[in-house]
Amino acid sequence: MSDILNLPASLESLIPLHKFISCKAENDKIPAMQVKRIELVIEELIVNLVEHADLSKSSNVSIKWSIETDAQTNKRQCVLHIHDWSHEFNPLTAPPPDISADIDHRAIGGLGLHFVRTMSDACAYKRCNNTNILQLSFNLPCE
Amino acid sequence: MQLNVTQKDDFFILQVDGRMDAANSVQFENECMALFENGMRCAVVDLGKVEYISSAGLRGILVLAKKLRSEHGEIRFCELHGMVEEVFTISGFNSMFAIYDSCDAALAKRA
Repeated sequence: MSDILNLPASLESLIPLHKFISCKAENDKIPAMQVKRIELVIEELIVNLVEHADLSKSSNVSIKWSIETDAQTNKRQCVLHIHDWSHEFNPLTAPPPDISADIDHRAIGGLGLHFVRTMSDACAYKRCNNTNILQLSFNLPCE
Repeated sequence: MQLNVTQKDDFFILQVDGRMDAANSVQFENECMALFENGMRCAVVDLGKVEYISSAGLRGILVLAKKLRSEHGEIRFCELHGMVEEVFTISGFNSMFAIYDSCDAALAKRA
């Protein structure tokens, strides 16, 4: 299976996304909990695009999967590069939700990008050639 | 996602089986709203068979919780494990809701 998955930004893409991640994760021996975190983060990004992005120019999202190993420490990471061609938007600067609010004061929504920031072990955003590029890293146990 | 519903005294026991993601959380919301319209006011949500949950799943849970509360009802949760437990912790849902180890423990607690 290719390391790159191109999908339309739509809820229908969640099924092929699940298959892609399951297949890559099995091949790279990624622990089950970390697989779910990876899938959650990508789902939240796609849902955010569906709900908020201007998809008139291009509705596609591209996910590049790679495993990187530090030559000195031997530590492994799953590194994802997620590209979309919507208007400039850095999901890492979205305001954090108030997770201490009680039921009456809890806003419905706003947790998705909070999960993106907290579930990944490192994340970075850049805008390049009219493209939003998000790099997400997930730590893996040494082999 | 499958929702299995049973009843004990005033409580509806909602056992969720499968995934609670953006593609199927609307189904959870709709089925819960139908139960609410038919008189459900107190619920124990058993999440022991949920293998995956995203913010869309939490949204459905929060909508139900607000609806029950608006009618002076109550919602309790049980059997949180793995990813579900982690998502509840990161979102603050674990401190917002009453959570029990088992369905029996949730039902045993008197209001």
